[in-house]
Amino acid sequence: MPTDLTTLTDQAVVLLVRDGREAGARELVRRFERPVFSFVVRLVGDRALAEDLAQETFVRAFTHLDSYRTELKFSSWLFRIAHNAAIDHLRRRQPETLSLDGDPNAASVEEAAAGAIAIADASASPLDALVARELGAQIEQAIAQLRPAYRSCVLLRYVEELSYEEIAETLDLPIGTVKTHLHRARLELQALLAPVRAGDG
Amino acid sequence: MPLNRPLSDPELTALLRALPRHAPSAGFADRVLARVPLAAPVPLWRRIPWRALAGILTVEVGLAAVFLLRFRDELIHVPARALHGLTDLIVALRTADLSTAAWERFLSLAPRVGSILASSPTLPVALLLGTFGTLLMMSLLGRGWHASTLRR
Repeated sequence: MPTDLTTLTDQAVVLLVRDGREAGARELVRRFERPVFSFVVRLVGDRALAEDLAQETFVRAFTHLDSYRTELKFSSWLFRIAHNAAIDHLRRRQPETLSLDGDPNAASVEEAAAGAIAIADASASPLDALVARELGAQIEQAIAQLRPAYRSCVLLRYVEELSYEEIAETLDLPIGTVKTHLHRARLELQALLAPVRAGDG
Repeated sequence: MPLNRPLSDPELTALLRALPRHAPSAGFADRVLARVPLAAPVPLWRRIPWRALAGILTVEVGLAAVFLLRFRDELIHVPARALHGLTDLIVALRTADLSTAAWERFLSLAPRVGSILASSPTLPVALLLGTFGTLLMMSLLGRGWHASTLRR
């Protein structure tokens, strides 16, 4: 009788994939396609590109599964691959700088806004669409204006709910740096959102 | 939500946590798996790297042949004499006539066996290559067991 893969831990499914089982690979994609895609699309601000990068993330993960150490959370390892793929792309793209700190990897306002709109249009459920319209679009735009390092920390912490330690492992940063990034990102977000809120009034 | 004031930390956290996860377009998993090599279950006989195995065996058999030819006489006579000496020893023990001659005959074979081992440059090489070859075969067979591609 075939095993119900949905009941297995990530590590157990990884072992199945290492044994060459396609069903295991499909299960991992099912579990992580939304988290990985959401993470990447908010990093690069473009749905089509994010799909390519998310695909690339899974393909890299499956072809290098032997190098995955099971003491690390699979999701952390996968997010690391996704992050590297997205950051590599941003570096190659050499965008105009916009970040408050002048980081060369930041996307422009127009790109960020375009990405946010594309994201809002793609919301799956009516509730998602409502949130995206009323609040999400503003916060998405604000996040898009953060430098990529801050953006990654914010997304991993608040959307993916990773711990500080897991973020540090994922982004290969010291925990202190992660906390600093998060603190500064929050300050920047509050500053970016304040005019919007004032304008609403 | 009150306006015209900075967002409080809890408000910002709530906003961030409320961000939805977006789904990729339909068929995403299929597109991913299409890029990962797929294979039907590989039968055992196809997993064995026959060429490498044949190469290793050829080298090992060749070295064994050289060794046998080089020490053909010794290899034939020493075991025969060892057996003969052992028989003598057993007979001597059974008849309680343990003469020194029987011992000497038997023990005199030891240096000759040692000389074969010491004087043969082929043997250590053969042993090393044999060990290496065996490890290599085990490694290749081990890799054969783990499919490098996905199967249904």
